[in-house]
Amino acid sequence: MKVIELKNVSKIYNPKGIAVQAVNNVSIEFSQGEFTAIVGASGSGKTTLLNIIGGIDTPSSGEVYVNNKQINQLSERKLTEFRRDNIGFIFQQYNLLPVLTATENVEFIMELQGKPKTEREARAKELLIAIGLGEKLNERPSKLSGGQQQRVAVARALAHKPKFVIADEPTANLDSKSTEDLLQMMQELNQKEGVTFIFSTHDQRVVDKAKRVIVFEDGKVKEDYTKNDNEKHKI
Amino acid sequence: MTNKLAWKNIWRNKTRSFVFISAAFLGFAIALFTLNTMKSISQQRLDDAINIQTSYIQIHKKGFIEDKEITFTIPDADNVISKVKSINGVESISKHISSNAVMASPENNIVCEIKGVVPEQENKISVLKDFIIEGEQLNDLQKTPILVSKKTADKLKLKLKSKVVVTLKSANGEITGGTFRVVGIFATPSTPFDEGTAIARYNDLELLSGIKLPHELAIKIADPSKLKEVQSKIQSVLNNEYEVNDWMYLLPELFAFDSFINMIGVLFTVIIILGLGFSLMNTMNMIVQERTKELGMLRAIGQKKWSVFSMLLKEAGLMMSIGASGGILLGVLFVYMSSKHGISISEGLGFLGIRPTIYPKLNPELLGMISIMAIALTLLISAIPARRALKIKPQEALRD
Repeated sequence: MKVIELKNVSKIYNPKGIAVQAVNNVSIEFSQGEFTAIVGASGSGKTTLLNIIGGIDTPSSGEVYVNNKQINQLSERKLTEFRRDNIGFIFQQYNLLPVLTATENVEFIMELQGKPKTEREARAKELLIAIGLGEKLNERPSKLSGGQQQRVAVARALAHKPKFVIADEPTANLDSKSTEDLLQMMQELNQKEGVTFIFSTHDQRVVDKAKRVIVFEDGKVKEDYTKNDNEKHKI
Repeated sequence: MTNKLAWKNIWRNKTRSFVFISAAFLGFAIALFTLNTMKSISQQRLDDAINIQTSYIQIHKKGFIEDKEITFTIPDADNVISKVKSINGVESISKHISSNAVMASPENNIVCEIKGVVPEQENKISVLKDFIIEGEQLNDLQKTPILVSKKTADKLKLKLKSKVVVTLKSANGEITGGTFRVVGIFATPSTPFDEGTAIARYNDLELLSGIKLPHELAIKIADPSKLKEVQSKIQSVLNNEYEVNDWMYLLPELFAFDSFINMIGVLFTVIIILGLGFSLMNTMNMIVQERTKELGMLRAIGQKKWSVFSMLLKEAGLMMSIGASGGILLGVLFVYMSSKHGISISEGLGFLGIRPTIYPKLNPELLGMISIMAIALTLLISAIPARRALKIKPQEALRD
């Protein structure tokens, strides 16, 4: 089932009056339950593409559909609500709120949705226990390792049961063991709960785990293939 | 949780928050204490002047205030008194004969204003009796009694029971004089009043000068806040032959001083508030600057602009609440302690009518004004950096 569809999407930045084409006429689709890695060199436009898919950024031209709803024409307020209710974000530098505990960090997005305290707490604990942080529920991020912080970030991204999760280089700051653990955990969530993951990465280990790989270069999709059946997607 | 988050955010940089909270604490304590003390000085001065010198309203024959002419008496005074008494809000009336006079003792002489009063009436509008430091107040049993100030007594070398000769212009324009006996010596907070005033009985001055009618009617009103209303009612029952003036007209320098004190108080408070405002602005700017990435993340995951804005306002509000409420409590405590023990200030300010010891009172209006200022300052000042936070673009903030 098609979850995300980009049609002829381009993004041009104009820093200091010089036009930079970050995404160049990209058309691409993502289906429910995909585990997709977008790979490419720094500056290839991966993050911009993810931001456009996630509704953080808007394209200069083209159309973005999520569940057949065009999101690039939503008002800023509607787009914020859309992100809150439909997308989970995982950032390279975790970006947890340092003053809140692991549980509170996971609860936060559900609070934004106006969910009741008991429901929030139960869901946060359930997720943190599921990702192996049952002993760290009341620890603040500063007391957690990088890998543990990124796990909390994954739990936060999944807390509100989003339609898909966008992860921008989620393993960039992790050591090998943490990367391995995190990838395994995301794979399990993908397989057991059918969560759609789309992440950008430089990390070959991530690419190795991905079911689908999109190679991005100079703002364009250079290659797009699914590993299991070696099926090439139409570019 | 945004409340909890705002609260916890305050303590992320304890030193910075402590500095701002301390500034607000001290600023509000000092502002509240200073404003109340200044207001109390001004109010005490006003109360003294009104209760000793003029009362709230005075009625004169038109032209008397300018010329002090002894023949400018109030026509049909009994009828005027009767009409004024019936006005709602008028508490009591005292009639005065007022004349410039020369008061002489064997040692010296001075020029002063002598007032003839009916003791029973005067005691209802004046608190001069409370400032008699030797002897007693006027009564009907004494023989040609007079009250003089301590300053006059010292200058003329008078003691209780001393005789003093008062010379003034009579009703027929001739100079007349009589002997009075000192029955009381007073010392009020106002040096000019003490140096220039002596008080005798109405009947004695009437007899001495041949003046049959009073020069002024001093009126005490029940509710000082209705001064203008009562003044207007009095004026409406009298014709144009009479002048009805309030204390602000009769004591212009006092009114100007009160306005000046209020202005200084407001200026002082504005300076403190501006200082606090800059401090708050600086603190909030640093908060937004430091947390740009975090605020971008919050916007990215779905926190609405208004929610980010209100979270920052809450942080500013909490810091201000802690500092201001503590400062206001300390200020109230200072005022309370000072109202019990008094604050000694220079004796030399008597020429301004200021008492040597001030007992500040807590003015609820000032307390309200300070509290409103704290709220308004927080909302206005912190809204500027909070608004800046709304312009943060998540995609840019997260990239940096």
